[in-house]
Amino acid sequence: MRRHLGITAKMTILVLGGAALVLALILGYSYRYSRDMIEEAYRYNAQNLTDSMARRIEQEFRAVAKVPQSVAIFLETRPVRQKTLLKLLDNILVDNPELYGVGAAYTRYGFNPELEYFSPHFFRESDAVKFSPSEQADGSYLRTDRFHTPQVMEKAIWGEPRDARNQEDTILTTYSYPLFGNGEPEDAKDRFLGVVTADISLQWLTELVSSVRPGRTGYAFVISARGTFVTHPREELIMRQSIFSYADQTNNTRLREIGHIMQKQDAGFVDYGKTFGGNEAFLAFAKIPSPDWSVGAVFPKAELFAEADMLNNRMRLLAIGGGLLLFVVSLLVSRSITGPLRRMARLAAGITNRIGSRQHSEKLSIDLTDISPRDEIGQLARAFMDLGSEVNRYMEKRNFIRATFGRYLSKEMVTRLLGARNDETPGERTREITVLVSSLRGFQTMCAGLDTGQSVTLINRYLTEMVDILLDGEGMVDAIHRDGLVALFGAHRQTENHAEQAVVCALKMQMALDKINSSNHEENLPHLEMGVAISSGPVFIGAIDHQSCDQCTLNGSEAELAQAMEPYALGGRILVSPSTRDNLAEKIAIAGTVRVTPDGWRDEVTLSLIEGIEGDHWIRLSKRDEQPVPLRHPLEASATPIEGAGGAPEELSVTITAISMTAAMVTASQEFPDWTQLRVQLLDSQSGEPQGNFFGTVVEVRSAGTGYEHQIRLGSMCAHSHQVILDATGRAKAQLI
Amino acid sequence: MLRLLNTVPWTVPRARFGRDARAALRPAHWLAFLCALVVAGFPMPADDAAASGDHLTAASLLPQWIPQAQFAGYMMALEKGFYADEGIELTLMTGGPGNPPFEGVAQGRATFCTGWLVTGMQRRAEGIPLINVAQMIQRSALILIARKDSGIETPKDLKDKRVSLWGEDFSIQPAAFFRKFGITPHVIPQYVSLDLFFRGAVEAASAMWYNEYIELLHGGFAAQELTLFHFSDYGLNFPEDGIYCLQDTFDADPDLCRAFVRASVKGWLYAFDHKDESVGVVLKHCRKARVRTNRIHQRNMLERMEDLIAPKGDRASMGMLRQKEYESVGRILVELDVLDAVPPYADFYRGERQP
Repeated sequence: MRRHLGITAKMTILVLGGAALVLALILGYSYRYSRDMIEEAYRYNAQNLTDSMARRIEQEFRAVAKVPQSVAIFLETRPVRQKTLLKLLDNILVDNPELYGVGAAYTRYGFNPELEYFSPHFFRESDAVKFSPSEQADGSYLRTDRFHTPQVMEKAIWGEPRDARNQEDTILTTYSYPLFGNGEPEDAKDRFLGVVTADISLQWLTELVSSVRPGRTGYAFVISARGTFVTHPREELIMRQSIFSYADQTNNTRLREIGHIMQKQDAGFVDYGKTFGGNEAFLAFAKIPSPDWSVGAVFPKAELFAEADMLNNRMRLLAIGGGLLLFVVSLLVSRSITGPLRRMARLAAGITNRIGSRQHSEKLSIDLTDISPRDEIGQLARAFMDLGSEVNRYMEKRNFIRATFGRYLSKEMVTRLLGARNDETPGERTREITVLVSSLRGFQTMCAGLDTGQSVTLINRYLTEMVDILLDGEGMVDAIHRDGLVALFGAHRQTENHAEQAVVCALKMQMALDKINSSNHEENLPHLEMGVAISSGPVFIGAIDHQSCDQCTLNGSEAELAQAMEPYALGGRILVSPSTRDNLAEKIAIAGTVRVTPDGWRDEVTLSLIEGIEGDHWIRLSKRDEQPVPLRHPLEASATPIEGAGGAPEELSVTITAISMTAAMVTASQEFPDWTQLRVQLLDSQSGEPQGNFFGTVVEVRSAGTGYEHQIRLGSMCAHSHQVILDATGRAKAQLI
Repeated sequence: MLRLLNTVPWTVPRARFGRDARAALRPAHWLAFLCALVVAGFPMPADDAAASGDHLTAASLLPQWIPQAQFAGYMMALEKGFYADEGIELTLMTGGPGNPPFEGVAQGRATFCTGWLVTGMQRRAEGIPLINVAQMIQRSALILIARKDSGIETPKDLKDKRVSLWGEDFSIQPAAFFRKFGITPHVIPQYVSLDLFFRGAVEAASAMWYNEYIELLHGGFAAQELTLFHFSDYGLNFPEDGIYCLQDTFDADPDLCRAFVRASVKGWLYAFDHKDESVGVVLKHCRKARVRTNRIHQRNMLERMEDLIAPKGDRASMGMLRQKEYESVGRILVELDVLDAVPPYADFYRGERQP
């Protein structure tokens, strides 16, 4: 499972990691720089050391070389007798203690035509000078390098180091100087006659080199032209190993490279790799020109860089201490940042929970004033507090919306209203829907006679019942204006049976109104009559202002038709438009039709009167008394057209000649046109005082003698009027019986 | 010269009596045996004397050069007691300049010697009754080494170049080589060392693949800086080191000769299979003879000796001199007027032969 690090850990890691990287770079650079400086200084000193050693050795070799040179010059310039030469060589060795041996070697008959081999050689042995004629006997000296090589090369040479013939552990090297001519006129000057040789023991060289100690554990050594160890602290290497053979034996390729470098370069300072002791080291070397040998000095790096290493170690300790301090500081800094952030995170979680909760929430208390406002965190805290305030306002608004719309709109709709984001345009769509418009007939007129409490009770009872039916029937309450309701079916969710749902709701609403009226009658509240108009068709649902959520507008002919139909939906009736009727042709029970030209419509529209539905929902409205019953004693009343009914007389005395619970026949001296909405005031037959009123709509007019007889469809009525009409209807029916 | 075995009339193959046989003799057997000797008054049989350790047949070997891994097989046979196992009390002599091997055998200073085939053939032709009882080095190790920086990559490049050559028998193959390619280099005598080559005084020099070539590598040359001409690659494969003794020695005691060869071959096989140990023994002999050398040089030499003595891992043919090769070498020697006639193979070689 992946674990996420907190900001504190991240900041600490990043700060420490960055600081560690920077420190490491600084330390590394410092250490590298100090090492380079030390190396440079040592390079200079080491090369001086090896140069001076090489010069000293070179001086010795040159001094020795002068002896054979002088003797050769002497021998080349005059004939010398054997005895003289032997005396000369003997004296030279006696007078030159640095020499180990001195000799001359001639080609066959080169010294004397009568002497085939002549190779006198004097050497030291236990402080005595001895004469060695041994090689002379068979001429084997002619096959030695000290004779043959100068002969072939015609130049003086320093030989490779060799063991002394008669003395163990004595290493020699020989300088051979070629001898040409012998001064006699008949001899060509360039005829090789032999060599004059001088041998030196390398004991002094060993002592000189071993006296040089580069550092505590360093050492110096000398190798010959072929890389043979002439001197070395490890005696077993001397004269037995070359730098190359030892490199091969120890599989040390670097040592072999160094051997080549020492052979080819006059001086240098190189990385030696590992020494014989296994330590890293530098090597300074310089060439000894005469024998073409090299002297090398090994400087162990551990000693060279001891101070730099110590300084580096101390700096590392300081860095570790600094790192710990930095750790603490970064921890404090990050906590000072993350502390407020954590508080805000907790508060945000609380806000989220409260917003997510469907319960009514208390006002949030977000107090971050203790956080200093001077930095970004403070600014964030301020912004967070502002956010909290906004959330509180939102919560208030949400509570209001829930309180206000939650009763009338489906939960889904409320949620949509509340959750709609600014970038959503939920209303911008055209959809096939059914619009249901309902209103209480004459409710406004009737309310004029009620107190406020009765009005609120009445409207709440009505709206609560109707909205519940609509919501249960998946209707979306689009508008509530006083007693008027506009509900949409198939608007918020595409459905195929929106018309059926609307009709079912309308039927249930009419049935529910009977229950409401029962309650009203018991509480002496007015009798209500409701008309419902339904129309189906493509409707453009306009933008919903989800900021205020109080203006949900519809656009489209069908919506307008439903609203235009509403005045013709008289009490207890359900009118459907042709489109709705066609939609539900096989399901609905049509009681009749009404041909009207709704306001704003050019053409006449045939509206169908619905009394039931079949299929999945089998509902049928109970039959009501539609036909007025003649009254033996007509009722006196006055009728006043309601505002908006143009062309009608103002108030007229009328006589109610027949009546039922839904209709009445009213005779008047003047004509009220069809669809005139009237407020009818009942009058006491004796005193002529107002007794109660009801609402009605003229549905038919005909002449009757000097006056006009109007059939009125009754609307809502006050409790008194309802009782009067109920009584009158009862009496009239009884008389008929 | 020892002739001990000649005095023993009833010699039996020595292989029957080795250390194991001695160990098998119990004290009771010894007592009975001694009583029998006293009663019979006969001298002690040689094999039984060998078994007792008191009367091994004394013999000596004179290598043709100073102690080095070129003779590791003989050193190891001596060190591991292979000669003693064969009933031989061997003295390993120190060879080198001033102690020529064939002369040493001819003069009776050594029972056996090692030496080159061409030298042995010449000495035989000169009348010294030498015979080859084993041919150890099958492939010629004599080479010409040239500096690549002098432009020598092929034999033809040696033309007019300064070439130092060993004399005597070491010059036969180079002479044949030059004649084969029609080359006339400027020949300079070469003696013991490669000093002239190291100093650049010559562009090419004689060398043994198992010694001087390694010396050059250990003197600073890189292998890629050198051009090697193996004569064996140019139809001039002269088998080199062989074991020689006088005809009389062989005729008197052929078993001694065969036993010596067996022990020597066994010593070589041991050396090849135990190189580190063998190099240590070689170095011991070097120190004794005051020869300054080192382990890696001797190790490299021993590795090359294995290639020369048992080419391509053919150990079964170790010590054999093939008649075809012998006659090929003889033909070249005759062509170069080194020999007038080639000694008959059957007379010259008395060692093991291929079936």
